[in-house]
Amino acid sequence: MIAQLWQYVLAGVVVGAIYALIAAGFVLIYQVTGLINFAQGEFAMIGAMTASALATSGMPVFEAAAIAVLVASVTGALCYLLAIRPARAATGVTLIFITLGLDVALRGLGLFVWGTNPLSLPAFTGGAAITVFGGVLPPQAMWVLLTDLLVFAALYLFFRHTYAGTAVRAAVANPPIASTFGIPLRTFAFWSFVAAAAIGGLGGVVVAPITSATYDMGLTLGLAGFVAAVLGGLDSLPGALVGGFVLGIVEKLAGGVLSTGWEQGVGFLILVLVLVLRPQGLLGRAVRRA
Amino acid sequence: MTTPMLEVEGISTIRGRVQVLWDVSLTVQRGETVAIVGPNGAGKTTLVGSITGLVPPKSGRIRINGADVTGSPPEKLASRRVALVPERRGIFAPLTVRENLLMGAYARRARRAELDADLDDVFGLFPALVRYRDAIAGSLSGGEQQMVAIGRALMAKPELLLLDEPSLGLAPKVRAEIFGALARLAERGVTILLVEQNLRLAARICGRAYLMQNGRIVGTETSDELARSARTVYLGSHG
Repeated sequence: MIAQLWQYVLAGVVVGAIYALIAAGFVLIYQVTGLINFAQGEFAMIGAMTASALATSGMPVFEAAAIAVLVASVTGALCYLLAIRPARAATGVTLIFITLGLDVALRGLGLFVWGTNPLSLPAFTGGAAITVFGGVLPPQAMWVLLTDLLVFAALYLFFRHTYAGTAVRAAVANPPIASTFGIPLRTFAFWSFVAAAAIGGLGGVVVAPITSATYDMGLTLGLAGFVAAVLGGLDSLPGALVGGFVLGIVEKLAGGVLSTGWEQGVGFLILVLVLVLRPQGLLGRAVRRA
Repeated sequence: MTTPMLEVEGISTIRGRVQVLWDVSLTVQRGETVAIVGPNGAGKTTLVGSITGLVPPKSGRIRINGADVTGSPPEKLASRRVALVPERRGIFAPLTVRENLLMGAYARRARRAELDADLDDVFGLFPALVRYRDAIAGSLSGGEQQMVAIGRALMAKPELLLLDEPSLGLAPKVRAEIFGALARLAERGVTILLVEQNLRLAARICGRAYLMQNGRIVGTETSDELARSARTVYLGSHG
C-alpha cells in the first residue's frame, strides 16, 4: 500500500512540476499587469503541438523544442500586442473576458492547424525507467524536473540579482511612482506575456513525451495551473512552485486512492477551500484593498 | 532672460468627474526653491500630479526647461531630470533601501561605479540610512522612509525636485533633519518645488511661495511674508 502511495506521489511530482510552470506564467502576468490570463494553458498546447509536429516531420527533438518555445513566445507577444494592449484602459473584468476569448481562439487555432488527432513527441533521452525508493519514473520525468529547476532558478536570479528584475519588482510594488522614475510599465507588461508564454510553451514541450499532445490539452493544463497559482498565492513565484507540486501530488493521490474521477475534481475542491480559508494562497501576501 | 526650469500656464485638471485645478499658473526659475502652500483639498497634490504626468491636465501648458511636456507620460518626464518625492513617500516597500535608491536612477542608465558614488552621496546626506542599507524599506519608520524617498529622487540627479508634503506625519526632530537636508540641496543649486502645509518649515528653505485654495492660485508670498504668516495663521483656515 505504501509503495503504491509513493508511486502516486512520484507521479504527482512530475505532473506538479508542469503545473508549477503554468502557474509561474499566471503569476508573472498577474504580478506585472494585475491581469489573470486564462489563455496561459494554450501556450503549453502551442509548445507541445509545435514540437510534436516538427519532430514528427523529422526534425531533431531539441531543435523542435527550441522552435516550439519560440513559437509560443511569439504567440504570447501577439496576444499582448493585439488583444491586451489595445484594451488596457478597460476594466479588469473586461480584460479577463478578453483572455478567455484568447483561450478559445488559440484552442481553435490549434484545432485548425493540427486537427484532433493526438501527436507524440519522442522522449528527450532514452534509457530505462528511473527508480526512486522503489517508485518508478520515466526518463522524461528528469527533464521535467530539470526544466522546473532551471526556470525557477532563472526567475529567482532575474528578480533578485538583476537591475531589470529589481525594476520589475518596483513596478509591481508601486506602478505610478515607478513610472515617474522612468520604469517602463508597458514594456514590462509586454515582456511578462512573452516570458509567461515561453515558460508555458516549455512546459508543454517537456510534458508532451509523457502525455502526448492534443489541441485541447491547454484547457486542462490552464485550469490546473490557475488552481496551483491561486493555491500558492497569485503574487508569489515560490508559491507557484509549491502550489504546483501540492496540487499534482494531491490530484494523483486522490485519483489513485479514491477514483480517477477525483483526479481533476479535487483541484476545484482545493480552489474553493483556498478562496474561502486563505484567499492570498499559501505563500502570497494578504492585500487589503481600499 | 534665462528659460524658467518650470512653467505652468493656465492648467485645469479634472480628477474623476470633479475639476480640481482651475487655470493654475506658476513659474520656477532654475536654482529657485519655491513652495506651494494651502489647506487640505486645495489641489496641491493634483498640481504635482499634473506636472509629473500622473494626472494630465485637460487644458493649459506645462513646460520644463522650455520643452512642452503637457500630457507626457511620467516615464518620459523622468528622462528630463524631474524627480518626485510623492505624498506619503510612495517607497517600494518590498525592496531594500539600496534597491529603492537604485531605482531612482533608472532613467539615467548610469554605470555601476557612478551609481555606487551616488549611493554614497545619498548615505552622506542621510547617515541614518547607512545601517538600513539592506533592510526592507517597508519595515523602516516614517521618517526613515521619507529619507529613502528623498534619496531615491536624488539618485535621478534631478534638475527639478518636486516634494509633496515631506513633513507629513513626521516627528519634529526628523522633520528638522529632513528640511536640513533639503536646505543643503537648495544650496547645491537643485531647483525645488515644495508642496507643504507647514508654513514655518516652508519659509525656512523657500525663497517664495504660491498660495493655493480651492484649486486656484490665490496669491504669492516671499519667505519673510510666509514666516510672518506662519506665526499668525493656522493654515487650516488660511486662504
